[in-house]
Amino acid sequence: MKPPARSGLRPIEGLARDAAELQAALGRSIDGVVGRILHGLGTSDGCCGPSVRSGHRHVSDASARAEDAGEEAIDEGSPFTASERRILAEIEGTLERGRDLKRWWDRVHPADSFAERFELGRTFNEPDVSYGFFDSIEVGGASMPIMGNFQEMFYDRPKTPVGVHGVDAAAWMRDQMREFVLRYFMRVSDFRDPQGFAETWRPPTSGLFEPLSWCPRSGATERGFGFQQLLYKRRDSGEIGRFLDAERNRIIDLRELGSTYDWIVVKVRIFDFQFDVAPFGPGLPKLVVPLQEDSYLVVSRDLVTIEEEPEPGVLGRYGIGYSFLRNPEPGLVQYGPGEFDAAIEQITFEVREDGVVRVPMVFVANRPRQILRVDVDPLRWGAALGDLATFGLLGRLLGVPASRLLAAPPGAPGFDPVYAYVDFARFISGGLAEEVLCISREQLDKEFLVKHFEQHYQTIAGSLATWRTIRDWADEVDLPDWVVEGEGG
Amino acid sequence: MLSLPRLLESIFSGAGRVVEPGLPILELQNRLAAFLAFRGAAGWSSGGAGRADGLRTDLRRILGCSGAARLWTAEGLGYHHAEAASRSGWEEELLRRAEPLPGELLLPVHSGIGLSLATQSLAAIVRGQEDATLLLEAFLSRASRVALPGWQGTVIEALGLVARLLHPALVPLIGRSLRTVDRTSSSLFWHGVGRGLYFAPSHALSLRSAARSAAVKAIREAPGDEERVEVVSGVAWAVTLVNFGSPQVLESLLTASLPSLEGTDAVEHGVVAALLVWARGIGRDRCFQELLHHRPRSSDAAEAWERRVSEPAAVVFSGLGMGPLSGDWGGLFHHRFVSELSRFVRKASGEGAS
Repeated sequence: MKPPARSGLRPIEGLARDAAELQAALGRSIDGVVGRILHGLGTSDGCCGPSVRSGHRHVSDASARAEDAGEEAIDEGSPFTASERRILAEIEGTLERGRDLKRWWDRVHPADSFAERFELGRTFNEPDVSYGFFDSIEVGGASMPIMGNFQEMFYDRPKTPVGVHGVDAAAWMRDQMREFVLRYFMRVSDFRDPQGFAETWRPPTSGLFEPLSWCPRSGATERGFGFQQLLYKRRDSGEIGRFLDAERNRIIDLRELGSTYDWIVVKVRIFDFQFDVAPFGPGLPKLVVPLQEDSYLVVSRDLVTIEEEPEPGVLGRYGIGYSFLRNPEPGLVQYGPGEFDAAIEQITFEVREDGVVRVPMVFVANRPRQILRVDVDPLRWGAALGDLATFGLLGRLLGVPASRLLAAPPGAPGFDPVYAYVDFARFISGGLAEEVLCISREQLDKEFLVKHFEQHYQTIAGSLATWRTIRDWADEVDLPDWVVEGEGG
Repeated sequence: MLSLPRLLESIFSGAGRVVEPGLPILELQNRLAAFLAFRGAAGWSSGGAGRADGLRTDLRRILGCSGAARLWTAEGLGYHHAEAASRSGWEEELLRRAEPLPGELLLPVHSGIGLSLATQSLAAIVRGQEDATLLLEAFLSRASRVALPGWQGTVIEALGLVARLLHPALVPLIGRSLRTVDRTSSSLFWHGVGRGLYFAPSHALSLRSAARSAAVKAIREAPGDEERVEVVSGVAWAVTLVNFGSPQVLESLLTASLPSLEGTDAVEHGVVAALLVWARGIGRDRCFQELLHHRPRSSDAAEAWERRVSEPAAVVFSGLGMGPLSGDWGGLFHHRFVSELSRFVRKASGEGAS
């Protein structure tokens, strides 16, 4: 007997085989499409690795784009990213403007010949000095309105009775201060507020319930300035280079400026630095302007102070000084660190013949023309929001990254809500807002200087504990690693 | 009575063998970690990409990394520097100018360089600029000029990974073309296809073990027995190295039913090769010892582990000293039986054949 024909099963087997092959082909197609998308997303963004904090772009892609934009490379096959090259292009101009400001300060300060000077801050128990000023300066043939603040505060004194090893103590103080300021200050100038906590252990709380949790949270409040050195120019060869990641916190000995280095570029993080605009008064809703946390500075020999016995009664003056670079990535905030047209800062430690250390500090910058800049461009906003929603895919198609959500492109119309409020208040009140309520641009400028005064004060006051902790700043062998490496205490 | 969770596990495991809950997520996490470490390598670069000492400087810095991140980052740095050197036109000098390089990272560096060369070559094939065979010959020629002596194979193997991940439709064409050009290169290519299969995005949301899925696909996609052995070896290599700290993932591969590969040592070669790469690149550290002495809970898995991991590893490592491994292992990816692999490693390490 013939077995029954199996012809009825063949179409089913064939269909099953076709379905399997179709599924496999579909899987391969998905692999290819997704693989190419992931490869393409990764190509220009570069890294997300351990030093994600820097987030620099792939060098050769940045070079290619810069060439397309008509920019010239510093060197052919430049090893620098596009942001770094924008910074490097600004350095000479920044140094020149910084020197202009310093020359102006050196002339006006001793003579106390400011166009306008006003009291700024007050500290108690010590005869400190503090004032702000407005003036103008010639920069590049044009007059630039400037403002600034000067403050001098007591720092330390030798704790030995006068006359008992008095001369030695003062000289020792000078030697210690020389090392501390010129070698270590920029490595240890950030610090954390002490934070009490009750030690408990709980498993990590899910994001949903975290706001309800009473468990102590980690994360101390950081204050002061955190410096990292990024780029340098060697004095002998003129070579411009980038410090290695491992060297970034170990700021050079400032005595190397002028001998080993012409200049260095430093990134500074100013912790807890924001500017409040309270149009309705204290205790009511206000606008908090977060001033640029990360800023770029250029440090050169003419802004650093190294003076031995500069005048009778002073054993030595040692100080850091720098000129502010414009942030390579423009943003919403139009004034503050990273947004100045010209600005310098100097923090000097003066050791007197009795060993007392005082710290005069000065900050000078152009007066703001704008605080915030918000572009009015609904189409651009829509594209940027779409970029956010599509995790960057739309932005790559349209060329409008989400990071530029509110930043205006050069030349685009924009408005400043802060100054707009000030001008409106003045207009609507016929000037009374300014006379009676202090709602004015000038008051905003003074508020900014007060913020700066407070920041300086905190930085110096905070550094005092570190200064006193170390027995001998000149003995590098005995210094803790976090001081030498600048990893923060 | 069959509970609902168990019923769901049975359904999702497909073949009826229950896969450990959470295993697919664990695999996905491990593969993502490897991918991100590779992609993040540019962040380790001190900006010397395209400079002679840039690669050497960057590799020395990552010697401080621990675990598999060191290997993936080294591979990423090889890719990153090769890309930069290619644009500047001096890729062939990249490794020679960068010497001396850390010996323990030569394999991942060459692999990364291979990924760069392969990506460029395949893009040209896709654009249809020239005949695929001519482009592949050019790729092989470039690989031999770029690689340090003895490491050409590692560079070529990356072609398979790139092809499977970016242009899977080209895999059969490239395989056929390479077979006519050079059989050794063809074998290495298919090993790379296996490596790429494990990272294929179509596994990303799989509710089953990605390792098993990759092995099944490897058997299905390979055109012949020789190629099948190489592809599965590549899958096993990738599964082992990516999941070095998660031996239960490797268990799921070892217990998969792969009858067509019985007696070929395909899985064994991949597993032991991965152990060698770890031992060479990172050291016979605690992670290594824990994997080697892992004891699965189920009897099936324990038997498979003993047969496919412990015994082959004992054969290969028994002839090697306890000190850091050395030597050039550029031919490691080419499939060998375990006994041959042992002889290869000893010879490459300079310890002589047994």
